[in-house]
Amino acid sequence: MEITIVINGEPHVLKIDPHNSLREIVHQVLKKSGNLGQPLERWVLKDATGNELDLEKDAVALNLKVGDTLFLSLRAGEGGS
Amino acid sequence: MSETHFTDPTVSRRKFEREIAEFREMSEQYTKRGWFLAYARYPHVRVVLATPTTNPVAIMLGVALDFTNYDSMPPSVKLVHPLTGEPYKASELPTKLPRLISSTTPEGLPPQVQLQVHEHQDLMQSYGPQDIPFLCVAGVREYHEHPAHTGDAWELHRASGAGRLARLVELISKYGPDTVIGLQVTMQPQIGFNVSPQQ
Repeated sequence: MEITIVINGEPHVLKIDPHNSLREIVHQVLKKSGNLGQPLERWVLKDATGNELDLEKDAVALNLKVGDTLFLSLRAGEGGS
Repeated sequence: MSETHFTDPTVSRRKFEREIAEFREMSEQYTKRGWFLAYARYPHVRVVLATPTTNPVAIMLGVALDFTNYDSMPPSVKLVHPLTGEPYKASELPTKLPRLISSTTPEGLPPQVQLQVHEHQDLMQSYGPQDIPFLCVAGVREYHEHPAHTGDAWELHRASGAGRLARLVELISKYGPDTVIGLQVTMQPQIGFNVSPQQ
């Protein structure tokens, strides 16, 4: 199935296996977009309403549909000091 | 904050325009999150953030970004009045963007007492209540210019998009409007005399 993952504002259309975990899908899209500078733990994936998604689940478990858009962005990291 | 252009303004402007175009492309989804692009003219952007889960929806704050020298340098980020664009002083901030660091349960309490201690850290930092605070996270110009963060260079974060518009708005939304679960009304009862004037 085809979904869109928006990485820090930049949309990437991706064909995914709905039985793959979101962790694998995130790794796949980061690799495809050349975003390999930060470890996977520094990224957060959200749905269209801003809910953080569990990367251990797959598209079927999360009821994702063809054409859905997810949002991937970097966490805050260190700071606030 | 440096206003000097040391990056080719043509390059910087093109990258700025890409940020704006991509933000506009996703505007339908962003509107549902309560994000509105209020102003965009190189090198300045203002995004207004509302509280999507309250009824009525409330406009909580504005975010002003300055993309001068982007992306040789990350953008400058300030919280501003959503309508006027005037930067908030520390004492005026509607939120300091608190981030939960830890939650612990103190030991030695009686079993009937349920207490959790939450430790948080404010992402908005300033030196005093009259100062203009800045967003203290990697990907923000003021963070990388701060003497405490010389070991965390912008170049370590640039390629992963840490300074991109949507990422910074996402962060501010997460620790700002997304934390609002309802509207609070404070009423102060006042007692006075109800008089009937006499002739």
